[in-house]
Amino acid sequence: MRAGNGALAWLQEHCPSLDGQFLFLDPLWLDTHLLSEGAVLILREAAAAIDDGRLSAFEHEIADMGGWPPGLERLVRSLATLPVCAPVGTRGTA
Amino acid sequence: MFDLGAARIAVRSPIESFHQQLDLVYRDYGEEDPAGFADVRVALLPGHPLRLWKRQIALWSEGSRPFEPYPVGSGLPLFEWGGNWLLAQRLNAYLLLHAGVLARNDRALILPAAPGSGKSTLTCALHLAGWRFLSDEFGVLDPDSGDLLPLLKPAALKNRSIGIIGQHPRARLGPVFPGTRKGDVAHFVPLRDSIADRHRPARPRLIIFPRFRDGAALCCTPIHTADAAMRLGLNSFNYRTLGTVGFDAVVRLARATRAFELEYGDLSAAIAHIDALFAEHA
Repeated sequence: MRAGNGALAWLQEHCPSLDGQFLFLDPLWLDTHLLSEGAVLILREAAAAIDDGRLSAFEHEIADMGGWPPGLERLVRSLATLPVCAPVGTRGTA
Repeated sequence: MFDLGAARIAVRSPIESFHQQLDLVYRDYGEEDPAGFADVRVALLPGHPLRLWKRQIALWSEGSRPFEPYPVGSGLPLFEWGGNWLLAQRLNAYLLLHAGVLARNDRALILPAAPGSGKSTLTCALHLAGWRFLSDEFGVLDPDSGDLLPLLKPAALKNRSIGIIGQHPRARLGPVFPGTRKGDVAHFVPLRDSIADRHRPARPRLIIFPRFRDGAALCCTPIHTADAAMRLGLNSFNYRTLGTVGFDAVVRLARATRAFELEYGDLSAAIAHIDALFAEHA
């Protein structure tokens, strides 16, 4: 189960579409980037991989396809710094 | 103590010439209780007492002197620039755009611009043409309501703008300070109605990024919503400081408005075009 916050949740909140273009707020450096729809699709896939703990495998897939599009790797690294908290009730008790 | 609308600034000084300058440009603001809350408190004090051959005035705030002293006769420019700098540091309850803001029927026109683009001249000229003046320097956006709040300070006009605005029959300017670090400077006093309305917010409707260029034909270009949001962030004093609050405020503002870039060489033509744009889009 995916957590209630984390990389995908950040994208949901801080990467809105404005008439077909996207603004992304970098969660680490707090600077803002203007992104195309294609770039946002890759970011979403990367965010899902971060939240599921399989970022390394996703990076290998990206490398096999020729590497990151310009500028996106840094944004993915920023997303990877976000804490992922499990939803209430999913943690074990001592 | 002056109530500017979105903020209060308290000032004290023993220097008589500075008091006279303040009286000229702030006389319609009224006096507030000096013991009341102020967002910024400053004192304008004599510079180093041993520099008798060249008397100076220094701005102090909270025990520090953030700027080099000015010549003693230039207290008002020092107070205005220093006060603006301090307000930009402190007013982090709001998103502060570097912009002129005017309104008609409580619908706001925002003029974000870099220094030297003619923002102050255009803001003052629109005000004298009938628009309510909210600010020349700070577009104060309340991130909760999405409204723009007045921050009514005198507008610092420089060089040729002093004559252009000063020739208007309703314009009231303070003294001219020749040869400051930004050239000749004089302060335009907003009309009394706008000062009286300094606690009345306005809803953002239209954004125009103005750029004056001598001899340029009027050219107005629509700006994509996302580009407008990016440029608003770049034209803000505290966008990054506010983090997600600033981001959300800018996105909301861009969605609620139409944005254009306006290059012009003739002030009257620019005003007529802005009137028409506002009638169409606001």
